[in-house]
Amino acid sequence: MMSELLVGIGEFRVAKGNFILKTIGLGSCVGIALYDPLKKVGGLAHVILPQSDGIKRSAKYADQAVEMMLEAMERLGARRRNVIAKIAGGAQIFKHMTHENLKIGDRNVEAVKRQLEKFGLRLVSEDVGGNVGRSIYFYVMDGRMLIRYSNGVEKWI
Amino acid sequence: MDFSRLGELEIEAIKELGNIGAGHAATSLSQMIGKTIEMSVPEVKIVEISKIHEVVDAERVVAGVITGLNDLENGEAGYLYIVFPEETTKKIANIILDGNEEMLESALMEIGNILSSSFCSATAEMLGVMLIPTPPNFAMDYSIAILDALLSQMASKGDHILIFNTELRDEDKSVKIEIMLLPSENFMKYIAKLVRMVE
Repeated sequence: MMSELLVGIGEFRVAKGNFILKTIGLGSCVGIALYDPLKKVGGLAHVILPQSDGIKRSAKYADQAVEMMLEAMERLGARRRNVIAKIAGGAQIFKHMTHENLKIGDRNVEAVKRQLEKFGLRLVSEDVGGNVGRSIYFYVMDGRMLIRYSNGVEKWI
Repeated sequence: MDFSRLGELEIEAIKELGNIGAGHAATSLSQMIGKTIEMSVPEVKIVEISKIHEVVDAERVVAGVITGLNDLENGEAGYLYIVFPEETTKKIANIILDGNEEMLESALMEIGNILSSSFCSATAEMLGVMLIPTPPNFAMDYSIAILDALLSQMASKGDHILIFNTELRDEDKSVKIEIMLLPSENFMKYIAKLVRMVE
């Protein structure tokens, strides 16, 4: 039996083995999946903001989610040097936009990529940007990631 | 701003204020589509941002209009999120546009604009502040995906948000529009003032 774990906005979850980590309705937010294919340990984060103030630790920030999730995965037996990454999200779904500060998708994606680089994690695939919202399903058993767009289109990365 | 610590008086005050705003919006809607509009009993919820998918129909695809509420003195006071479910958008196209869907997006955006303006002016009057809605932002997507850009603005201030919401609907419930108010810290300052006055 495969169990599904839902990752809420600004949260992350880690799991080992037969799990699907899922997060729904990513607009400007970014989903980060990290995976140790040898140990079958994976994690999924739903980050909402690019940059924290550096004081409070929270997975809602791109600059903290990667590190927090790596630590949690290590507790499940993952090895940092095996870990690869897949990311999706960071869309700009507003067709008419008058608020500059709603335009946060690109900044989220950039911030996530900087973090992956900082920790030396290889980004193996990505599906970012565009103007359609996404839900993502990350299969911890084999590292596949299903993206379901709000227009009904599905894609594996 | 820690919304989880709000007192009952403040919550009641927001409910009342939202009620008045939504009442005015209902009148505007009724004039626009020429139907009697009723309003559901409004709710105020304080939600952890990570649990927001439990209170909105997260994966439903909707048309959404977001306007910011601008207080001329203190800046942003919160947001209004107006949600049109798919069935409603079709109905509106029929009523207002004679079924011509080409103009649907601009029609929805304009309706959102008018509803938020009425909501805004009614609440501002009661609070005795200048509150001006920004031009509307429009998207058609997962309900929660439309919300997330807005949540990101609030997430930097705290882990909870407050949502006031109510539904406007016509008699046969073929038109249903949800109005959500997400107040920010500035808005809560007015509320605190209002509550002190009542006491």
